[in-house]
Amino acid sequence: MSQLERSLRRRGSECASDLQLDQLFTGELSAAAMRTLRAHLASCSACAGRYAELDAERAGFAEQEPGLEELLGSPLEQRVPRPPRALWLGRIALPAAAVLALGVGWTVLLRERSDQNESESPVESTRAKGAGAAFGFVVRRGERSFAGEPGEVLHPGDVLRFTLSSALPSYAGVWGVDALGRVSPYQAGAQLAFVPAGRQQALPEAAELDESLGSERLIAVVCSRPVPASEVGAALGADPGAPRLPDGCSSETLAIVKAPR
Amino acid sequence: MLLVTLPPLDRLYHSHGPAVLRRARQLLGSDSEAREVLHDVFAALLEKPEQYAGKSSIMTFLYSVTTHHALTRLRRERNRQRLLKRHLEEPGSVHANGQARAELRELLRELPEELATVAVYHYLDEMTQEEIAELLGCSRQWVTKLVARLKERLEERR
Repeated sequence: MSQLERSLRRRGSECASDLQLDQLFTGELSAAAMRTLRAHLASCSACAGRYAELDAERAGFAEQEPGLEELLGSPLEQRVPRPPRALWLGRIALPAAAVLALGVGWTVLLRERSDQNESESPVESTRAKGAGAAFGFVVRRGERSFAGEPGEVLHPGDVLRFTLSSALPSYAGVWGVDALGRVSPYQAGAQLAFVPAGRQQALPEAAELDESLGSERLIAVVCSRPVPASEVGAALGADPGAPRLPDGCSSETLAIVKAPR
Repeated sequence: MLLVTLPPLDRLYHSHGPAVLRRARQLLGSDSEAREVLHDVFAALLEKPEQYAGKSSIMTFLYSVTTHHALTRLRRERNRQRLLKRHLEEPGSVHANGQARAELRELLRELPEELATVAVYHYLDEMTQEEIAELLGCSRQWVTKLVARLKERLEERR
């Protein structure tokens, strides 16, 4: 090993990389990988120390670094064009528009659809106990969009967008549990997404179903406060049937079936 | 399942910005240069979010993009000289193993882009070969070859 290599490398081969630790912070690891990494952190002082360093760095970033608008030098609204309103869900193939930087575009479009279809029966599951919130989803299949129903048969390539109807602002995320009990998130954010009060408010991210088939339970977790997605993911991973969710959170479940086209 | 969209950019900035800034700092050894990379990465995402194709996790994608921006900056000769000068004048601005990192930056300038990228992932990030393969979109065997070639280059410098 060269001198340079000896100087630079500081961790053992069994230790976690910064990438893995970063993904742990942002909730981008699978439930199994998260469990493994947390177990390793509990037994490895080097990795636990590095985790603490990164944690402190994240706190410092929030306190010391400029906000995004300040960093970029102009309000985001002035820099990102909004998609035409008439194309509800029609822009999902264009992440540039779907992201909309501010996370308001989908909500605006969904509200518009909701207003247009007041006579339609919105597809929502039963209310979660104590949460006062109802969870639903919209399916985009090719050029067609429709409200999903419990037990809906979906296909690889279908794009799902989740909605929440709640009298109060809340924080929400959705996880899938497959027939083998494997839990995986439908969003990448480190925190549960803020969802304003109202009917059928769209969560900020959409997800495309992959090629895996079979039944799956969609578990929506709704909280009254910001909660790290990793905490919820860990609780679901430990016991998807009866998760011990953080205080102020509740869940509800919808079943779907993923079948070939 | 595959995520097809990025979360709102302001949320992404708060959740992933610290990692982008850190790795830019690690590569460039300069706070001001790192902030410029932070700006460049998020400005590019704002203008062209479709660059994230949803083929990997967002963090993996941002690691790759930040590496590219930082290496591009490092390879500009004038910038390289400025960074080295700053390193010599402001020893407090680099990490404890700053000398080794300054040497790595010199090496990165000389290496072909693919090897430079592997050097970053292997030495700076201390990633596994599987992780590097995922980032580069190639096989682990290919990464093994690249790492071996990288070590040969390091031996030649001794």
